Amino acid sequence: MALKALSRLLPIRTPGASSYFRWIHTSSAVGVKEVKVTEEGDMTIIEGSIQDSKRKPFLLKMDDPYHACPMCALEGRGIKVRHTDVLILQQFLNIKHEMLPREITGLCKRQHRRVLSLVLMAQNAGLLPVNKMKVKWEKWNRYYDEETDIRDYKLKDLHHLKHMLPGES
Amino acid sequence: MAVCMRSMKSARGLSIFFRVFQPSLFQASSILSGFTPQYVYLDAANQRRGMRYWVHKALKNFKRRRDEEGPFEAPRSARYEWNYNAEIFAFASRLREPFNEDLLRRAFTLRSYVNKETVRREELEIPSEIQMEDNEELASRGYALVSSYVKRYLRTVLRFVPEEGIQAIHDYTTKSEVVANVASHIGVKDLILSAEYPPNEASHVKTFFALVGALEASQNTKHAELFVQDFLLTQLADKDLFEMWELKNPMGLLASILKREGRGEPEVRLLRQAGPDTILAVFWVGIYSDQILIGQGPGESLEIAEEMAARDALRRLFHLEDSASPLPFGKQGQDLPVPHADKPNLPATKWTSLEATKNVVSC
Amino acid sequence: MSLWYKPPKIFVKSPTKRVQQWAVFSRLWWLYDAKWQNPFYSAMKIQKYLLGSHKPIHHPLSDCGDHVVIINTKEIAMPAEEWRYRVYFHHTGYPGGASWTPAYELHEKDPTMVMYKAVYRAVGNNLLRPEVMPRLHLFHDDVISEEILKNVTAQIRQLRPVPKRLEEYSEEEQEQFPKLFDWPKEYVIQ
Repeated sequence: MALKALSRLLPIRTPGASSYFRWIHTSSAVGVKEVKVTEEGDMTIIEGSIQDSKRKPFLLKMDDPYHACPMCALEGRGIKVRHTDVLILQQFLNIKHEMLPREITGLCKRQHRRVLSLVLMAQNAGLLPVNKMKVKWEKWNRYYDEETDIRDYKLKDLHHLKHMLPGES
Repeated sequence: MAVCMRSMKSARGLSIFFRVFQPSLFQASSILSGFTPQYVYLDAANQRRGMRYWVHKALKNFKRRRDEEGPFEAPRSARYEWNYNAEIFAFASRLREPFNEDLLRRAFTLRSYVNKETVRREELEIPSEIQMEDNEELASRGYALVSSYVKRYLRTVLRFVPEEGIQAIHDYTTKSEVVANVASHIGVKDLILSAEYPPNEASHVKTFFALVGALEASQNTKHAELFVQDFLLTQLADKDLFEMWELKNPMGLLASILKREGRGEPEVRLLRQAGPDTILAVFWVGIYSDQILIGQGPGESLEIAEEMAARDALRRLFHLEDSASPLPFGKQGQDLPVPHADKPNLPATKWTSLEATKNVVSC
Repeated sequence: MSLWYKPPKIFVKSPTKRVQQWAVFSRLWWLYDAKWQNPFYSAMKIQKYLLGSHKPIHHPLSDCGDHVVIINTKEIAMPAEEWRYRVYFHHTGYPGGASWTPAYELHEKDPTMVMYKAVYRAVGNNLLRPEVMPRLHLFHDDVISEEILKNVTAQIRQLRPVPKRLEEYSEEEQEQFPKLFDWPKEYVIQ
């Protein structure tokens, strides 16, 4: 409890944000570092320099001061993300196929909830890998309607599925 | 008083309820002539009810006799009010053709009728004062005009069609079935004087040609020709003219024409097909010459489709497609410059599209 | 007797007209890939081709429909929880002979059955159904005999695009796809 309260006080949650116990370190936990060994005469300098992440060259340039959240920025540009766009949704997952916290992804509250819904949809449909055993009726292909939140599909009656006829293109 | 009224009422009601049978001459005649008879009856005289079984038996007998006799059609002239003179006059007026009345009468008189009449008069020992003339002469004259005009008309209109095709369409037009059909619809059936009634197909045909001959003798040749155009040639409207010409080897004809025109040999290619492995297979074959599609057609097998494609190519060459403009009749037909001379179109063995274009007759 | 002017009862067509009619009433063979498609909405589209109601010559009493070959019926998709909620009823006729089979169970037993039943229902209860249904050819995968594949002339468009699983993308594609955000400076990638 105390740790939780403390985490609220701190401005930035640094590494291991998914668990509360990772961020207590004797030395600061940092990202991928390159070890450089340089010899100047008698002196040998061993230096660990932080490298740029691999994502950097492929980052979208969204210099929009009004859209702090990347998904809002996409929405503002008329791009609708569907649950079949696994290459986008995958960016919000960690290696255990869990959703990353907002502090890392930079999503606003509304978009975080929405992306979580889409990710669950994609995982249920079998498009994204999931760390879960499948029930026997989840074996076959399934698809979802993005207009509805996935939590609403748990309802037993399926009347709301009638409008899911895709338009003939 | 009240009692009396009631009794009257009941009597009236009874008479309405039961149909009282009163045998009369009218009823008997209606039964014999086969109208709907009254099977169930109530005899008012002796209050006897029941079925008249003999009526059914008699009707069956009548039916059997009628069937044995065959269909009987009484001639219109057997009736009392028949007036042959008036009918002849009405016929000419109906068609709005100024016939000479004597010639018109002669056109309706067949040789069989004349023979029958002379025999009858001889039997009755009546001196045959009136010399009756049959329509043989008029008919032969009319046929010559019809045959000549039909060919000249077709050559004028279908100038790209070879002479064999013109001949085939001509043969169809002057076929006895077609001519007799036209004659019957003009209304000559009751006017024909022949030995038999109803007059047969040959009598109809002869009468129609005789009418054309009579019109030519009454007026002039052009008038008779327009009559032929209006009544006989209009039978060609909405018909597939190319089908009248029975081509035995369309591919050979097409190849010879292309060779004469200096174009490439016809090359057969499969354009489309549906269900080739089934019983309902359809093949769509196209014919190319110098890599230009000149005809295409479907068929149940590749051979049939190839033949149909060749026929389609010939149709296009001879300007006999389904989309070809209709034959000129009526006002257009009147103004059509049909030449008087019998100049045949190119025969199929010499036909090229360039020569056919030169063949245009201008009057 | 002397009824010569009546047209003959059997109207003999000219060869051109006969062949034209043959071509008009020809049966086409359509291919439909049921991969990731809803079977019930697909059936609504397929029944038009089976009954021939997509043709201008269509008449409900004329048998002018086409053949439809459906492949990949094993990979049909249903919305959300429908695999569980859709139930097929059968009764043997004996007391206590009723049985209810959920769609996912039926699909395990016969992967073409759900699709067949969907089309059977979409065609509708009419006199042509027994003639129409044999023209539907179902295959649970994309392996078709050559005899049937030879006849196929055209393809029916799918209702919804087929999605791709993450494994189907190569690692390069995954890496080089435009990224929405960068990691924080001192983030340890887990």
